[in-house]
Amino acid sequence: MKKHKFYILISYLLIFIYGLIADKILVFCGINIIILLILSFSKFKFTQSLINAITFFSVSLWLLLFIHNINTSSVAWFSSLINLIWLLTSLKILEIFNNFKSKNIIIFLILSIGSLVLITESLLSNIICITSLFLAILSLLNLNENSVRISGEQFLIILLCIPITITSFFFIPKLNPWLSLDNQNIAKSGLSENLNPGDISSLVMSESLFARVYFNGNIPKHSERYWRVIVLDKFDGITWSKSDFAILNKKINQENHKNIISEKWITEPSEIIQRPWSGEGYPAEDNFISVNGMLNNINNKKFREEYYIYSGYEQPNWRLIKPSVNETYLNKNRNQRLNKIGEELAQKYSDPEIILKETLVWFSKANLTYTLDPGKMNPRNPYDDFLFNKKAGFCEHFAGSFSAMMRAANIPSRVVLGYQGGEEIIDSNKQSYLLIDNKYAHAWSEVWLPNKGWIRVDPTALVAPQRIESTSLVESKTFKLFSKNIFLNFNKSWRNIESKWQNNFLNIDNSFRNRLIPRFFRNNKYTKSIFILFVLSLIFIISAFYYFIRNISSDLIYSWLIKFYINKLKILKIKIDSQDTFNSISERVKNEYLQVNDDVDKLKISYNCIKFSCNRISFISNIKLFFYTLYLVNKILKEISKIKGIKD
Amino acid sequence: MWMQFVNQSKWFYKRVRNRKDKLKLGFKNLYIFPSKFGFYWFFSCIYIFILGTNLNNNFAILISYFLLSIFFINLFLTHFSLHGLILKSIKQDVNFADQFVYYSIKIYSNRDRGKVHLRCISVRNTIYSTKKINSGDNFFKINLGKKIRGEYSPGHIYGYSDYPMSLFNCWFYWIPDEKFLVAPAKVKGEVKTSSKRIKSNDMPHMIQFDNFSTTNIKGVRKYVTGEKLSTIDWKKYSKNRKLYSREYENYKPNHIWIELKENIPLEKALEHICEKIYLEYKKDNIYGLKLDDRFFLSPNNGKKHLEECLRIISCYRR
Repeated sequence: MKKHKFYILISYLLIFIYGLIADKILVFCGINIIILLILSFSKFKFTQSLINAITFFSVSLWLLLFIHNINTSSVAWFSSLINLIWLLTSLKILEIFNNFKSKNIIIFLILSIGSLVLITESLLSNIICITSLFLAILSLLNLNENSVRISGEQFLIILLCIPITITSFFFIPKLNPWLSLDNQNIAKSGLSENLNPGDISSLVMSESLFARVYFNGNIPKHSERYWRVIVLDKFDGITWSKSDFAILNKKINQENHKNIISEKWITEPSEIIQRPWSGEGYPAEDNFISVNGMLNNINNKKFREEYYIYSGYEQPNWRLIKPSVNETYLNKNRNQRLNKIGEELAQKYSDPEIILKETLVWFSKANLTYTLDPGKMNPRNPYDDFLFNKKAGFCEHFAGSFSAMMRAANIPSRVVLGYQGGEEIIDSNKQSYLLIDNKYAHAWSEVWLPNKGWIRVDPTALVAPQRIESTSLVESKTFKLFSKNIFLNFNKSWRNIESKWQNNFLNIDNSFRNRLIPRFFRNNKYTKSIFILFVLSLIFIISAFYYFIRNISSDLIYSWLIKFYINKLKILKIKIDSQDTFNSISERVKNEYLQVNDDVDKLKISYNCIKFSCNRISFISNIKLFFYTLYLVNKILKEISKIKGIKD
Repeated sequence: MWMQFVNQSKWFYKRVRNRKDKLKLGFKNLYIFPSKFGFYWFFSCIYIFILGTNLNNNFAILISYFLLSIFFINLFLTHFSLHGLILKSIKQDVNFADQFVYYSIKIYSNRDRGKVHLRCISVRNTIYSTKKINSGDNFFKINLGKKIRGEYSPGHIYGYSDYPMSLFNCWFYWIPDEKFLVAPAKVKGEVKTSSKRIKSNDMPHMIQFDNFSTTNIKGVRKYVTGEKLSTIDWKKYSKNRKLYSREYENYKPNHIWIELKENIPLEKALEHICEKIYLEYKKDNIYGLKLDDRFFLSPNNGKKHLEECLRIISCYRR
């Protein structure tokens, strides 16, 4: 295979395999990759008519999916567009073993790389994208028609672009977004706004990043790391869902000196409007707390976001807000066996705290097991099916059934979805923080006790304490201890690098760019623009000048210098005829001014060397010779004018 | 190339007056514009930039700047892949009417460069003559298609380069001074030939010069302008300052005269003559050409003589 085709293929496979793994690419693009891989080991060639047929089929399929999904979200067109680009790239790449136009595929590749950059934000994806981009550029430089022969020159072309890129990036201010694009497809939290055990057969553990949290003091203990996000207080017997909520607090004054930052959160984009928090303290910025203890915002997290939780400001505590009707309602027609146990406990004990304890005892003795793959529950009575038939489930089953049993025992309860745990990491400033990814997604219960308010109860901890104490069950299942340690260490350092990359590069905003501009220009927008334009044009001029100097013949510069020298000699009244050669002029100068004999000889030699040498003189030697000649010319002219002055 | 739509529109290239035998490419005679691929590249950058800005993605913005900087760096690279080249028209070989006609030019470069594509605008549907430019002299042969006999000027020569990444097209126009000849096609056929001596009365300024020896001089006669200098009797000249040509005694002509046959059409007759001349040249024979009283050439041999003969038959009655 030709070199440029090889580069194209590698570039394509890199981004598409990554896209597939990251679950961002349509399945039929993936099938295409598999076909391609098989073809690369066989001698089968796609005829153009076969490719046309595949194209027609794939694009029709895409069109059907597009029509089906167009009304599902406001950004369906955007994700469809990205998928169409990938699809077309995949189809075009089928022609790789035929005679195809490489330039077209390079354009498609660039668009695909751009799309992948837009929808994934991890360091790994950035590295893959930049590698694919370089491969695409290399393939362009190696095209048959116009191959750049010297690899050094290829490197130079790419190298010269880097100063312009960096200057543009750091000096040109970022524009404000003007299109209403919601990147709902960008990242998905491990949480949903409903909980229906009849729908989920297995829990998929995603390791994509969810948030980072910094603390003012020490990092909480493992058992205290509960990060609440969504509170589900409506229960119809089958599904737990979120009700409309009332706002608890007003916006606090950030400048109040009493406020101390207790938590700093950096969260990844997601679909939900709730933000994670510990449940202690008060938010600022656009965030507000609802009466059921959710931290809300008006918008969903379109971009990576940073916000703070403050302590030291007196406000009503959400834990003490009395339960609403939603939080006590129970549909008695569903899960009747569960309801019966709850009712029995309520009849037996009057103190809610004792009922709570007894329920926990019942759960611990019920012989339940924790599994990520319990299978689907009976859709009519899911919690009965879980507690009495399957006896296996994950956190959502435990929390849902526990809360339902509490309601059956006349104790208000609700399910909280959020994250439990987090990996402790020390960043480059030696500040430790918790890294929370989607594998820490968890669900627990909250019950209302009249004297204590809403308290947290985690029934999963009774059955699978290791789920709470260690990081997750997946790792202990899939890795042995040795490999686990290597993996965790690698993971830790990788996360560290990623955090540096994210903090120092991806979070660069206009205020940072502003700081790079000298203070004198910074304050006025006109002087600022002039400065930016000046810097950019300076780099452009330097690049253009470099090429100009590299391009013009050394003879030409040299002849300018010699012309200058001869004109100066004329001014110094040395007789020069039109038929004189440089050597004859030099002889004349030597005869008239004996003091400059040596220098004139040297000048003659260097002139003859440049003008008549058979060997090719290198670029650097040319520069050296030019400056040497310049020095000699200057010296000779100075000497002559000095002698002339004394004579006169 | 789609750019030719712009390049070749009459209003534009009528204004290009680079009629020189030598052209040095520089800022004054080079034009540059993004290619189709360059436009696609630019729009891809804009697409990534717009989405990167709206989705607040710094990395996408960085990539769009990187692609844009490649685009702009290519502006310089493509321009300087032609800047400084010296184009020179060289002496043209004689072409024949039944074959493809080629126009030769020489391009001098001070360093190694990318590929340069050349073609003649007046000729439609011809392939570009493409070559990588090395340091020193590079020779190009531009295909001009098939032509009928005559003497031609090549007209506008269009050259372009899209080195190194095809993002820009840099082009120039040039009208070389050197003309080229197209001789009639070489077709075998009857040719009127004669080996008899032509009397000096018939052709006063023509003289047979070959196979003579200085010992057997028959006599002298008055020199007529146009006769070979080698036939002049210099001794006589030194005596009476008048030019005389020598005539030889045992003169046996071993040359032939190729003449125009009158019965067949002119073009055909010329084609036959062309073939005959070429054959004689290959055999290194001595031959003369006589088309009519005004168009003739005294017998001779060698490449120069062949070229002169071909010039005469190319331009005869055109």
